[in-house]
Amino acid sequence: MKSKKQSYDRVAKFFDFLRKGDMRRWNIHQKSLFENLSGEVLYIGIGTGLETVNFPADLKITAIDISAAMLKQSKTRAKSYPGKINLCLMDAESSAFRDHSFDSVVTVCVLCSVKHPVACLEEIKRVLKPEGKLVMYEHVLSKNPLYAIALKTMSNLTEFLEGTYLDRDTVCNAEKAGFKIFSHKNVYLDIVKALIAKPI
Amino acid sequence: MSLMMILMVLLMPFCGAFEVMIPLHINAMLVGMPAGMLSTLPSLALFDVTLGGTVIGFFVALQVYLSNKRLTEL
Repeated sequence: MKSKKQSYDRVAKFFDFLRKGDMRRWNIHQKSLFENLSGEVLYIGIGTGLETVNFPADLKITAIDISAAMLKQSKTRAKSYPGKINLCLMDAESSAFRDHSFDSVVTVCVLCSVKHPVACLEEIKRVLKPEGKLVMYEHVLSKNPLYAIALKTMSNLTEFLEGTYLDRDTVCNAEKAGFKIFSHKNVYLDIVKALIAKPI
Repeated sequence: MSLMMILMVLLMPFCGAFEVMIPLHINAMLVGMPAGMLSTLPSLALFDVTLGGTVIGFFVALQVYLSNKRLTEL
């Protein structure tokens, strides 16, 4: 299997094209979810910066990604954001930030890609202020067995091609890492979810 | 299955990954495979198999649509 970095460097060129359909449908949901962001924001997995148009203006955002090729593509979008975005090449599972540095942390389809989701969430909890918010826009494994079979079958392929897992239980993982989900909204079936959690 | 993969790659950039993946998968599993097997029976015309598959496929897509409506309205 390829490393995450290699995989994302490889897909960076056609990433926008692949996500075009999703973004068209997700923009409205992301805009309403991101309204909950405030203060110092850590944006994990900025990718090519597609979601930056959905952030409210005037936020101070630190955006990280594991792929240099993705970060390079996101530069233009980060510059056009009406606020401040600092881009950093960093792994979400072992960031270089001090404890309790951020008021909000955002993840968009990140916890399906990291190798150890609980470890990543524990790292997020470390850098998040105790009264801070974790805002997640993630896809998870469906509770419906028929949809779950489809996701598990496809997961083998997506895992091989780009290291993305379609069978993660992010809600359960967040609770394992010490978060309490206090807002839970389904965006598509019970697969794509908009979640807000707080550390406990 | 291969037709499903081709359709998925073609439709994904326009309709969204999960919106394409879920109905296509269920159709491939519930409709595509039995239809493929039935089409080998000499007593059944290909047109009948295709028509049956299309009708069941429509109901699968409708079920996914209604299921999505119910789950996202919660």
